[in-house]
Amino acid sequence: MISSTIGIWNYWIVFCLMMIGLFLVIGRKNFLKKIVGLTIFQTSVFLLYITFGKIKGGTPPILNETIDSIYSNPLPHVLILTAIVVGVATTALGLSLVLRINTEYGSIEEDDISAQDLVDYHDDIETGKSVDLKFKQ
Amino acid sequence: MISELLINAFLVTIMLSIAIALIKTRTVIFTVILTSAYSLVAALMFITLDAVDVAFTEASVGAGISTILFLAAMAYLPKKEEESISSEFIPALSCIILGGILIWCSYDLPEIGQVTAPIHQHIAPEYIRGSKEDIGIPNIVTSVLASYRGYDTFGETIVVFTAGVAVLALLQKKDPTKKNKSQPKQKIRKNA
Amino acid sequence: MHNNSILRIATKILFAPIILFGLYVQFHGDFGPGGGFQAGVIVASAFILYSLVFGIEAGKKLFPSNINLILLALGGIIYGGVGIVSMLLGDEFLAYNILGSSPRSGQHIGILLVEFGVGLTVSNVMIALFNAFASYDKIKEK
Repeated sequence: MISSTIGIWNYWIVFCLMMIGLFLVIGRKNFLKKIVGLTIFQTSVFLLYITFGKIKGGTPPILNETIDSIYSNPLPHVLILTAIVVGVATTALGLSLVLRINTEYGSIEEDDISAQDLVDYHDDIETGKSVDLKFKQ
Repeated sequence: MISELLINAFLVTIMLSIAIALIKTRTVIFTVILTSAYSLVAALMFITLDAVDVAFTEASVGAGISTILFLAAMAYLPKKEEESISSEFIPALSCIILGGILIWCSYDLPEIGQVTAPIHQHIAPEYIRGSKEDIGIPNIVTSVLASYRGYDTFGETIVVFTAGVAVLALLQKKDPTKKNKSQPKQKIRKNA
Repeated sequence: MHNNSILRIATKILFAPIILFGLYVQFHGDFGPGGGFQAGVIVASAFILYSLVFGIEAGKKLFPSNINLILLALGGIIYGGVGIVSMLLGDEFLAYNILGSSPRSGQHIGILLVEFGVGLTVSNVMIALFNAFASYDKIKEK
């Protein structure tokens, strides 16, 4: 019983971590916190993949001529290795978008930004300017 | 074997506590430092799960470079996170329900480390044999990365390149000395 | 930070060993853990450390940004070029067997070149990202 619980304990915690990441993305209004949430989610998905690749009593997948051993599955390692580097590149892209938003709006809180957009929209209607398409929907 | 699993369970629980601390904190610097710690514990976790290459990458990229990027971006951003006006009840509820469903489904997943799991049956044995006989490189991860899945890695390299160029395009300062030369271009951009 | 002598001297001492370690990881990736992605990040971290301690202007003097941009593209070109060369020699795109005298040596040459391209791109992208973030101007451009 205990060994089977420990056998899937990793999955449980990884799913909890995923949900914490998802909560930070959809629940928090601060853009920096949203990006941190994405990073948490990403790392938990990496953990899930690597957990699948583990073999009991296996060794890291580096060939050894002298000892005949079982190797853990190298395929998830390859996929995640590249995904980590791509992940940091996309995180940097998101951060740069946040910086630009901060220079334009003076804030990175979602509530402030939508309030400012709403004020701009009403100003445009009052002055009779053609309303920008993106606010019409 | 059971000790390996116990170490795993211990480390992953530390990660959970760091993530809970991340929800609680409202200061940006703590958020960045906790994210770095999270990556570092994840790297330890990868070592115990036999993924040395991935642990290497996670320690240098996740705990190193991404922390520096967060700190560099933090210098221009507000230092405190505001309390949000709207309620966080509905997002929290939907996350809890989704997490419950996932945990319920986890009983159907194979236990950690079983040789009979479907993932170990299909192509991995061929890669391990081929890396020894056809390619002759001891590190199987490198041979799969660069040779068997060369197209994949080529795509990833281009993605990294594109992301770098996109960040440069978003953040680059306009040089005031070059204003006269680039004026016609700016006009075209405004009209379009 | 510019006046802290411990940081300055430690940076000067550490700079070369970090790059040496990066090169070791790059070219020893066939035999142990390592490869282009990790090596690129380690080499980039040496330059980022230099910029952090001596200031972004000194960092740009050490590694000019126009060279950075050229190398950033060159990595991808090397990777794609290996594929094109293998095509011109009469095999498929990114099939390394034809590059050497025997299939095995061909694979060795191909993997070494490809990893070098990856390392070049990754290290230069990381340096460019750090420079872009560190020298970002907050003033509104309107």
